[in-house]
Amino acid sequence: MERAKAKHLVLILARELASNVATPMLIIDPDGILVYFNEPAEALLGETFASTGEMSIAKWAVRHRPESLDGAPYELEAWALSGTMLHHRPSQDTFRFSAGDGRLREVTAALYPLIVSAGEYVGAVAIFWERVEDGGSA
Amino acid sequence: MMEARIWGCRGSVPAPGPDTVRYGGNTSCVEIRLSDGAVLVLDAGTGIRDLGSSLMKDGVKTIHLFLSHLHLDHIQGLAFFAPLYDPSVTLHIWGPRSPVSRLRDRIGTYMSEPLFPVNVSDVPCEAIFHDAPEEGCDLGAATVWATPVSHQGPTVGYRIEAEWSLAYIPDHEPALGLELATVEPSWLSGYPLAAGIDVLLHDAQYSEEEYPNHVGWGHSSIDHVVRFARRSDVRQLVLFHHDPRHSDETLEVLLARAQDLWGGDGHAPVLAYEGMSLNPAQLRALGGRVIA
Repeated sequence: MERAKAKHLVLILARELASNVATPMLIIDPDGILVYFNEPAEALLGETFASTGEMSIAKWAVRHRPESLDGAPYELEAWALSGTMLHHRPSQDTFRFSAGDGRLREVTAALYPLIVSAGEYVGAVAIFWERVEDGGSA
Repeated sequence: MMEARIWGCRGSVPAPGPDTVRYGGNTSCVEIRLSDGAVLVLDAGTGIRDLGSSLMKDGVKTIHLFLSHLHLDHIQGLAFFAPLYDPSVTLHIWGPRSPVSRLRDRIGTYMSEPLFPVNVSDVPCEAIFHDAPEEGCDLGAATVWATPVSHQGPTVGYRIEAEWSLAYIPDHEPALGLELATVEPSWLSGYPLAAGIDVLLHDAQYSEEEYPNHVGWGHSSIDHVVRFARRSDVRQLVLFHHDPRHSDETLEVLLARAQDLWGGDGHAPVLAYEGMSLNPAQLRALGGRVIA
């Protein structure tokens, strides 16, 4: 009998946390699939999770075109934030992207890996923080 | 055929006394006998003491003990488990992985001075420690899977498949932070354990009125467990891990509420009790259609 599939408990707990905070949070599974983002993140991304569903980070990058603050497009593999997904270490970057509502938004993002016992990587959590016009973070 | 017997179904702390005689006061312990004679034990609450005497009488020499987690009500009986002190016994102890220390060391914090005079490393039996089988393992006539579930600290539930299937999730709060009625099953803690199972032994610690004061304590209310079982297409729900403050009469009120929530179709939930047998005949008597 084939077993029913479910997310790892740590991802479930991360989603529970994300759904109860006002901080924009995104949750990525170990295969690099964006499996959830919360309502504050929806406001920042300019689209709802219900409308997008799960998508790979590669697809997210095509959709939102992340780039440096001086407008240089990011190569996904070379992006600082990819370090969390590829090498399972924390990462941080400040960049801008095209939101679903057409606006260009500048954010500082931090990703941290979710590692359970025996070094097993089960995904990552991203926190997005919009930058305000004076160059700091909101 | 696989058979199961409940030796303890109380939660949190033993609750002996005149108010708990029908359902029992011993904490979690379930014996599983497989058709090939293999013996599995789920948790080492105080119910395991009498089970140990029974296994010694039967001359059982190999035992697989599956611990859901290491809260005291699930390991308190281990030190009084007679096979532990028989050098001819091989005891395999399975438990949830921890990010910080080995299972043997974590059990050793209980079975060592000053809490207990015998150190776990000094017991006469051959004790072999394993991580809970998240990838599944075949033990004779059965396959056993473990999956982490929402509770406090590293905790797993178990799914055992033989001629019929049984899931054991004694401590579980699947409703924490989400809506059980609408969440996709893939986001439902414990779903892979319970999906399509014949018999589910599940945490049913609180009434709906008690739960709001215990959010985050790691347990289910009656409505949560019924909803979880319904979402998971469980055939026979057995309410387990009774709150130590709940008398026999209170449990029967909770059972009536569970049966009401379950509705008229399928097989109504039942209460776990000490001495309860779960085998094909017993389950048919309960109304369960458990053999495919």
